[in-house]
Amino acid sequence: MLRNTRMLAEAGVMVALSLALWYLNVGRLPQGGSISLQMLPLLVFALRWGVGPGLAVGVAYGLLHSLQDLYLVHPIQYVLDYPLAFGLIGLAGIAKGLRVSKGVSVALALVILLAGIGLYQYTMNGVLDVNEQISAITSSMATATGAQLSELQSQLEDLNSKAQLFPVGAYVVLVATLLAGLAIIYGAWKRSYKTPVELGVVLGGLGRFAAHWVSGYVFFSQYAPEGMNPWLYSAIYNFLVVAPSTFLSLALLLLVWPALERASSGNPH
Amino acid sequence: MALRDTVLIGQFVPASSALHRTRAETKILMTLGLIVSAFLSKSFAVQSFLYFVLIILLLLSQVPLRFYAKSARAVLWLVLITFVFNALLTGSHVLWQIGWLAFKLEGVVQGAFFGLRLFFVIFASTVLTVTTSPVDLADGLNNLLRPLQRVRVPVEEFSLIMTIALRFIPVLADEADRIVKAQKARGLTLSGGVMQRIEKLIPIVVPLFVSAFMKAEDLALAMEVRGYVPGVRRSKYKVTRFGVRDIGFAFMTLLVVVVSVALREVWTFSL
Repeated sequence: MLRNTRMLAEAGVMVALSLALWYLNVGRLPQGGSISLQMLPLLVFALRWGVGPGLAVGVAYGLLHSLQDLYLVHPIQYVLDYPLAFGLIGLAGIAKGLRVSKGVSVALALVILLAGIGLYQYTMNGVLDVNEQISAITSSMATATGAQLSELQSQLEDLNSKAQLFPVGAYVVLVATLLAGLAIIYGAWKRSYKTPVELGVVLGGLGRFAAHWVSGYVFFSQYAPEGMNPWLYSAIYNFLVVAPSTFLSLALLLLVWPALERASSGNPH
Repeated sequence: MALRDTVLIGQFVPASSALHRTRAETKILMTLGLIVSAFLSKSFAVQSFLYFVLIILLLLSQVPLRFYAKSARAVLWLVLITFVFNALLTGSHVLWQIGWLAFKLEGVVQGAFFGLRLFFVIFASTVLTVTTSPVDLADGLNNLLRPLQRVRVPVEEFSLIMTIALRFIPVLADEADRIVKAQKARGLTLSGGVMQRIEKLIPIVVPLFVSAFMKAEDLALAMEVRGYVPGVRRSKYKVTRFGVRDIGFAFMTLLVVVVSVALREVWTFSL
């Protein structure tokens, strides 16, 4: 996988560039918080060399980032938030070497949008089903006794957690697919070359978001009191962290990609 | 002033304490052991024991406390919010009431425990990063991951990426700073709406990447000239060995884990 001196040298330099951009806050937007261009070199590297090297570079960046700015509240949270979250940016490498015309990109975006809406509808119907079952069990609990009662109770708890989890999942899927679809359409509209940069960036962004989301769940379920839905809180919080960075990287990368491809004479393709 | 003078990499504070001279591998395992011990149980006895160990480590590190305070400050708000939320929302025995805010006994206990544990984990990991230079840390991490080579994870190459990255951070930070200044001298102003700002980043980002690609190419050439072959095990310029100190710290870690397991049922709270 990593058997190329040029690739190794570039990997190290790109990780360093990410960290340098993060230090200097180049490109920080007004009221942007921690939004900077740190994702950009990782995305560029993944797009140039593919998924495997992209993952390795992301993991290396995540580990070095954690040495600078450690935020550790739980062992699993550490693995998810640093090596894995940044490693999954490497998923952008799927777009490497692909040649996709604008029309195909837009069609793909529409498919993603429709799939998202469909999944949302399907899950929401599932929630209605679960609610019906809950009311059925509650009414039958009025007459049940002994062992039957405790069994119904455990069933009820199970259904209640489902009723909580399903809508959250549905909303997250809906918002994520909407944004991903829009980003892909935007990218296809902006670019005049064949490399589907937007597909790569969206995939990388989704990968990072997924890792942060699960890690946020681990964190909130450890420290948050009962009564808060950890999946929802984690989704909202991490969404606000990852989405702006991803969109900034996407908008910029679409503009500079042709120049970067020309600049890299030792081209891997 | 060159940026490499101002960009401080990591939280490393050079000194020659016993902890500083211990191998990174040992310290990483020790930190891992301490953190796992903290998460094993909900026992106040274990927490106080771990804090006792932590104080010994802080003293051993011979690093002024203000370096630790920096990372503690970062989580202070988190600890406070965790505590207040838990105190308000968990439990039923009202301890004291301010208006409609009712602090509950169970919540206060649970919040205090979570806050203590959070602080402990932050301090324990800061001991590692304060006493170990990033290069040693990366090296140690890679040595610990070496067994993964058996399942064809390219640990050796990975370690090279980390080493190159650490070496090039100041170089590229310098370069980025220079390019930003050069473009500003040509009249670039980073103001305007979001889209305008993004477009104005182009004359910074393109030269930065071009220069980074060029550096990578030169570096690859230099590596090959010096006989670098990917995938072959490299020898090291600095060879360090495991010493008595490492055995001592490893033994101490084992002891801490064992005591933490033994104390896990003492002074617990149940919810």
